[in-house]
Amino acid sequence: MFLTRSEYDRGVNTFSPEGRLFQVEYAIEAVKLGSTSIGIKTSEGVLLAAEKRSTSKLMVNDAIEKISKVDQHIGVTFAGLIADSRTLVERAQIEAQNFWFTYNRKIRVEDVTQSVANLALQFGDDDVKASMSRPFGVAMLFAGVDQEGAKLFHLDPSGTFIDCKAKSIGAASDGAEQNLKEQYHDALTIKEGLKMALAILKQVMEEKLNSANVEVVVIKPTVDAKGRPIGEFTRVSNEELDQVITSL
Amino acid sequence: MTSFTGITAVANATNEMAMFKQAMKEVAAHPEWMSSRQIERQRWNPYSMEGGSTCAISGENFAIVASDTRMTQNDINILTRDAEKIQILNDNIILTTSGFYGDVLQLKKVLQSRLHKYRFDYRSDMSVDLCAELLSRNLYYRRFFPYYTGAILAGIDEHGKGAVFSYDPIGCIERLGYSASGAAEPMIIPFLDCQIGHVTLSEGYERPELTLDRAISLMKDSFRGAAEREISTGDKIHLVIAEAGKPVVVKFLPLRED
Repeated sequence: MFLTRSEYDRGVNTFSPEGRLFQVEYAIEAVKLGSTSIGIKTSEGVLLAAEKRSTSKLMVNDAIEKISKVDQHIGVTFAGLIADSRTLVERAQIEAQNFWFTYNRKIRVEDVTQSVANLALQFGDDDVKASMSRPFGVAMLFAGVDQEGAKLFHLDPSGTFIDCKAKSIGAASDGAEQNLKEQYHDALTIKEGLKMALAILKQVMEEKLNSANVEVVVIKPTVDAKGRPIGEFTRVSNEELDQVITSL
Repeated sequence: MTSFTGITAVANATNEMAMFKQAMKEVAAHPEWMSSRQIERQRWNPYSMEGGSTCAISGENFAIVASDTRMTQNDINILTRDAEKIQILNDNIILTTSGFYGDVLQLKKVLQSRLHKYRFDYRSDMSVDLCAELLSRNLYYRRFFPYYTGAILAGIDEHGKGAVFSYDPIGCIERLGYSASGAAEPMIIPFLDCQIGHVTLSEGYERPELTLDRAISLMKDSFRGAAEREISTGDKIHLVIAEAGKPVVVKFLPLRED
């Protein structure tokens, strides 16, 4: 299989005769090396849960950040090359602040995702225009609550983004997604969603699940000073996580 | 001898002509009808004031905007009787500006292009609330070389209600029920304060509802009154009516031309 690809997987912007961009496909594969993240949209908001994989007991687990805050109402989790995600998260944060500065309004989750998707495809081997020489090796889940309600978007290295009800990315994404398909329903509460996410992580993680190797963010709908619907980004505390984990 | 006097006469005539030309030059440079302040302003100035007035009134489900179409130089010289100061940016956003006409046109172009880009970036039309904030930012960007305009933004907001946003030249924004700007602002505002704001009406008296028809006739009265007393306002009323869920209507009504 690799023999047939050998000539066409070198340049990042060269199609193979079958019409494929191998470097982009390899980038999508790189996502599957990352630790697992889950996003679930519920009737009471949206939540993100991410596995923090520690390779050594000498590592400080609290220092790993697998879920970043984009704005007051949007969070993002990622899987793959974490260093690459920094660039993309920063773009998302800048775009959100820019929108707020210009229009005095919080940006929609879809628009943040769109702007990051635009950046995801700005790669090339010419060193003049492109900021990145290869595709970004990360997939991201953007979760947030805007004027249209709770939103969850999945973005992959090809720059494609999809509106989801529930989604998993990373090493165990296939197994986790199978579970999500079986268990998901539209009337989920945040509490049920949290329990579902942790139960699935517990099942698919290689390590034993505890509050130190998992990170959870909940974004619940609220209203701003002018009465417009918006979300509130909150990290779930270790105590709350422990409570749920012991109940599993 | 006769030929000598002939030469003197010719010399006198040439001298007189030169003096006449000099006098004409002086008058052109310092016309008597110009005040000393206006002569002072004749030194190079990046701004000029082309007069005219604009006004906007919002109601429950409508917003109407009007301006005159006169453009003047130094208040008396009419440059054109067809200068439009109202720009319909989309079905929900109307911009009206008075002041320096060059800045009026530039501001319109800037907002038009931002609206166009917004459609591509965010896949929907900008609402008047967002455009109001955008205009405020754009005016403040020019904090130290401002657009010399009194802008008013009007339209139908996201809740289907009429909206009027008033600005100063550097972007201080305020949402009001009605607003006026330009040469006749000091005449129109007290009239609307009385008729729409009812600031002079005692408590307990019935306040007439602000219907579209009433707003339109108040608007016409404002401009007719202003045109009587304010010389840079006149020629035509350019009236734009935006009603929630209906296309924008544009009308031109006659006004004093003297």
